[in-house]
This record gives sequence, C-alpha cells and structure tokens, in this order.
Amino acid sequence: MINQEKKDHILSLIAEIADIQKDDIKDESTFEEIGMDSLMALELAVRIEREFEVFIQEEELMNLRKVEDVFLFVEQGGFID
Amino acid sequence: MKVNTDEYQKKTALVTGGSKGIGREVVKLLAKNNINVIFTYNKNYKAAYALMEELKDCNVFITGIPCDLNNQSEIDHLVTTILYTYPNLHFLVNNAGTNIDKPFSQIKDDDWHNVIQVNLNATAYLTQKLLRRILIQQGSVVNVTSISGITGAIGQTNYSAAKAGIIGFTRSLAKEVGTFNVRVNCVAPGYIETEMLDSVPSTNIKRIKKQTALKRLGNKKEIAETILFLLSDKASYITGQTLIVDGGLI
Repeated sequence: MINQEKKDHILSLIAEIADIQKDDIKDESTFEEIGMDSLMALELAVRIEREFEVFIQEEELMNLRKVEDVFLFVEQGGFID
Repeated sequence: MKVNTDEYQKKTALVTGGSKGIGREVVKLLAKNNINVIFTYNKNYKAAYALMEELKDCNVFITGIPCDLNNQSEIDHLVTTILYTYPNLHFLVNNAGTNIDKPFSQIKDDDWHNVIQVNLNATAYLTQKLLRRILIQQGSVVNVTSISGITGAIGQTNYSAAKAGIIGFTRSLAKEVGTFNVRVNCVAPGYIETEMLDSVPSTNIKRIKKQTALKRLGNKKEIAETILFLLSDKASYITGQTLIVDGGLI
C-alpha cells in the first residue's frame, strides 16, 4: 500500500493540474471523470517523474487511466505489472 | 558568444546531422560551453570520429551515433539509445537536413518523400519521442529551418514545404509545452558557406552576395552562435519564433 504522505502528494498534484478540489478526487476516479485531458496527463507524468524520481515510459503512460493507477505506479517505483 | 558555463554543467544535448556543416559547428560550440553532446551522422564516420577526436580535451562527453533519418529502424534505435543511456536530455537541435533540388514537374515521389522525411518527419518523430525527457529537464528545442521555408525558392518545392512545415510545427509545439517552461524555436539560415552551396554556380553566389545587405555569405559559426543563444537562458522569453539569420537578404 502506498503511504499516506505520497498519496497526499499525488492528490495535490492532480488537484493542482486539473484545477479541482482535492476532496473531490476518489481513488477510483478516472482522469476523464476529473476533467484531466491528455495534456494535463502529460503534465502529471512530468511532475511525478520529477518529484518521485521514477521513469515513466510512453507505453506505461498510456496505462495510467485512474488515480489509483498512479498510486500503484509510484508505489512500485515506476513499474506496472 | 561565451555563456556562463556553470549554467550548462552536466546538461546534455542531442544534435542531429552533427558531423558536418552547421551541425558540426553546433557540436563544437556546445562542447566548448561545457554541454555534453550526442550527435548523429549519416554515413561519414571518418568526419564523426575526427570531430570526437578534435573535442577530446573538452571537459564533456561527445558521442557520435550513426543514424540515417530516412530509415525508421535506425531512428528507433537512436531513440532507445538516448532514452536508456542519456535520459537527462536538456537540449535537442534538429539540424539534419537534405535537399534534392529540381523543377517541381521533374520531382519524383521518392525525391519528395525523402526530403520531407529527413527534414520534417524525422524532426517531428524524434522530438515526440524525446519530448518528455526535455520537459522533465525544462530544456529547450531548436529546429533548423531555412529562408526557403519562408520565401520559397525555385527548384526547392519539396525542401521549402518541409522547412515551412518545421516552422508551423515549432509554433504549435511551443504553445503546447510552454506550460512546462520549455521553449521551442527555429533558426532560419540564409546562404551559409557549407557543402550545400558547392553545387550553386559562382555567378549565382555573386548575385546572392549583391542582394544581401551585408554583401557576403554567412558562416557556420554565426548560425551555431544563434542556436546556442536560443537554447540558453539568455533567450528565456523567446518561444515559437523563427530567427532569420541571413545577413539581411529577405
């Protein structure tokens, strides 16, 4: 399980980029549901790589569709099985 | 131009078409400004090795990678090498180009596609594949276009179309990535003393010099200095632009 500190950090990033309240984001929310378009998803990927020092490959980026996918990705240190 | 070298410490650039012409001057200038450089070359490995030898005393790494930008598998190999070996890419200089000059009525499909592929498609493809590395490093991109892409030129319908495409591509990408503090610009050289001018008759060269405000051809270093300027923080509020470096020709 991802620790609460990392989870809060990710939620803050998503809230900032999608310009929504952090409380409105659920773990199972899809990017589409929270109004995150492809450019915002790119910005999220860049911020996550910078701030968590993980490397997201292009094909992995395509697999990040939900908020919980991002938690899992960061928790696993940049890998999704 | 000598820039603050501390600013570039450990930064890495990729320069396409770096073994000769303008690209070679760009590689040399970046290296002398403490920027690590990976450059591509098509077939001229002797020129590439000579360049690496020339720069061996610079306090940076210089690596030449063979890549025919008309060959998709070679481009993919280049991308993989960069992503896994040099992921901290700051700067991309899309410089490689080719021309097959003919009257439009005589241009064959291959002539058209080859010139569009090397000049425009390869620029877009490489930039797309390496973009996120540059976004993460908050780097900068410079695409080398030509005044032919702005004014047009007899016998260069394919080349002018490709170079004009680069200008439009640059403007759009600059708008997309500005939010990441990443800048994308073009340099549009006029007539520069390179191998590309070898096939131009001397009478035409004389006429070109006469029409140019500064009454001379440009040199490669003048273009390289402009590229370095656009990559550097000295150009921190310039993006989406095409800087014409033609001595006052157009």
